[in-house]
Amino acid sequence: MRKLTWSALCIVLVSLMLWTDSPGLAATKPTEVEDLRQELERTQTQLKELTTKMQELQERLQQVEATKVDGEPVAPPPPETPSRPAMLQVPLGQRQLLLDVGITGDFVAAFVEGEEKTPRGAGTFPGRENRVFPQEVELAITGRVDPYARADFFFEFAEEGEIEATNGSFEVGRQLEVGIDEAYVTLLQLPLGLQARGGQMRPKFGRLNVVHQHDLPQVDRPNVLVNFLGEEGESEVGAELSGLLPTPFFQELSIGVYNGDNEVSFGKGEITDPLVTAYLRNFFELSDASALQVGLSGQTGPNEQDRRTVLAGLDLTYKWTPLEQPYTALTLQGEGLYSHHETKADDKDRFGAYIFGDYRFSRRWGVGTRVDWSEFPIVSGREWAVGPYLNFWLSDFLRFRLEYKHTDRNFAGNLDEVFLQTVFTLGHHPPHEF
Amino acid sequence: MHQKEWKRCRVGFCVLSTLLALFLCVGHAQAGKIRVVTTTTDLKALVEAVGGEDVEVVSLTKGYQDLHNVMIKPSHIRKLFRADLFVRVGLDLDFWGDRLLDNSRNSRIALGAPGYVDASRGVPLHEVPTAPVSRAAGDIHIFGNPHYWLDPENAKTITANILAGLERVAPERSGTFRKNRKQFLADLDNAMNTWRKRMEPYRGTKVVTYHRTWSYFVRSFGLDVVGYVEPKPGVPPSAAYLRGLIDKMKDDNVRLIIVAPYFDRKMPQFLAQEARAKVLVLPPSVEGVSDVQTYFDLFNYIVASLVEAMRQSPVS
Repeated sequence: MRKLTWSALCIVLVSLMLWTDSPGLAATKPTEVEDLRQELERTQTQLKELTTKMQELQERLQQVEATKVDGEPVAPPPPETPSRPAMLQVPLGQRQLLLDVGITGDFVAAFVEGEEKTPRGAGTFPGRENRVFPQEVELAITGRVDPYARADFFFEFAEEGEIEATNGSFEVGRQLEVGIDEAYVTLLQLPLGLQARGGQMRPKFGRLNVVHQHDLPQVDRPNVLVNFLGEEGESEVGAELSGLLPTPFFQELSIGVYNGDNEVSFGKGEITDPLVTAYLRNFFELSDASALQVGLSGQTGPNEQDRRTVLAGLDLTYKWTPLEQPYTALTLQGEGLYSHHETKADDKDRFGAYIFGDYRFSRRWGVGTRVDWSEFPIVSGREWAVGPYLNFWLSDFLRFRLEYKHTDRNFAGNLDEVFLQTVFTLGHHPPHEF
Repeated sequence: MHQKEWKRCRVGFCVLSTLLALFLCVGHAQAGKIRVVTTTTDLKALVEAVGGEDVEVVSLTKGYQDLHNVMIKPSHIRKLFRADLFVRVGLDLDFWGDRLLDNSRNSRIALGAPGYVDASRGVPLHEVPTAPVSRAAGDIHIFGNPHYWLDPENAKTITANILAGLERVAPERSGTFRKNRKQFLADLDNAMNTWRKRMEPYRGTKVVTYHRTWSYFVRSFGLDVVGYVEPKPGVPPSAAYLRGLIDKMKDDNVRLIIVAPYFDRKMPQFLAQEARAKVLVLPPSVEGVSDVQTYFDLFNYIVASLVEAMRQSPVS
């Protein structure tokens, strides 16, 4: 029996030796080992993943246990990051562009009858009569600088027109100009509830001076603002401080100090003899649907002849916006400006005003009319104008406007103008404000 | 510098000093109640439920107002200037709140400050875009549908966020807030059972809504939205689109069109006439109608109105 057992064992061993030396095994052995090695690696990877997941779950469980109140989870502390990322927070690896970017195109076709090729006889857009032109293409970049400040940049590209007298005749010049409309930083939370702005900005003076070209309620800026502050309004470099007054209604006082570069009314351009502005904004909520704003504004500074110019203004805005009809709005607005302009020869006291009514009666349609009356701060003459218009919004970001404007002047011929405007925005656009 | 200019500078300095003295008079009244400003009336109701007698809450919008299209006013700034706590819907529904916060001059409610509450934190969101977003898709909400308060279950998370905010600004009153919230949650569970029972017979009813306002509600109560009056969010429908929707309503036997009070009624009424359906105007927010003053009132009103409308217009 023992002999038989030994014989069987020998046969098995010899067979095994022969088998292990066979060419077939020599070929398959490395493949199997490789397979086993790969399987082992996969298992190790899975094990690592499971371990990581278990650790994460353990941490989350600990967090939940730590924040439980009466069996209900309590929210963690407030977020350190914005809940609403800017429209252009494009992930760039681990970084983000933490700013809002918007670009707006404002193109106008101006058809004019009765204009004269003289600086004072030209139409609303001198040098661009009977043309289609970019009134403004604005690039807006805004955002928070840090927890304490925000920055706003507005760059504009526009076709500017000019009529110059040369050798007894007048020449029309046009060029595409690129410039900074505004670039300022706002310190948001100063002591005593104050805020400060610094840089280049539109001073808070009156109602429409702070409004950018494409956001104006009509195609053009009211005549009085153009005559007293220039076609694009007043944009100055300096600083401004504003605060809320302790009154039972909203009352904000803003005071600014600027270089005084405005070429029409000021122009000395030295901060040692600055342009000083003040604006008192009073807001009265008459009902849920209607409100009234009354603004008192003033500014004083040296002009190009190193004499003083004083501007004073009063603005009134009434809005009726029934809340259950989100696109319906009636706006009645007016603004009057007085100018005291000292020159070496004499002092000039001039006045101008505008008033308009604007009614948006549906999501897409609105109508309005503006009436202007204005003198000029330095030269003599006066004009009045009336301009009805029709608005059509395809969406909040694309608007068309058709406007007719008749201007009657006592220093040149009358004008009849038709404007067709399209305004379109890509990217960020701030919310509607009163 | 000339003597005359120095004189002007002195005058300017005096004016500024006077103004600063005036601003010094501005102080925050230390009243006993916590001053809370919310962006919506729904959040106002929920803050009142948790805060009870210890809070004084003001909403910046009305319940019958379209929250997508809010004009910000100086009076909003004045309210925020005095606030101890600011509670917002978040996501991008009340995006206009960012501009108000910047102008509020109130560091206590600034983003990341103890007095800032984003009520959407932790809420499971629906309709989160999975493809790149573009305005070609209309006024799309890039973080998902923001009308989350219309699922009562989400009130649990919203009130947890509110509780956390109240505890941050007034930790000494934590016990009261927790007690109030516990009671609110118990009442909510009871009410939820009642609402579900009333809606159960109508589970699966096909409806059309104007906007995607009701997504959370219909999922919570088992209604089936088969179409929208708007082809895309915020985009008015064309005649061709309306014809297609009428056909779909007829095919699916839709008998109900749900519209929020601030949307145009002409097109829903036209659809209803053509498809033999009924227009039901429902307030999506507290104070949307005079009978709805609390969060419970809101769902009592919505459920009662829906049940009545579905009972009167049974699907054949």
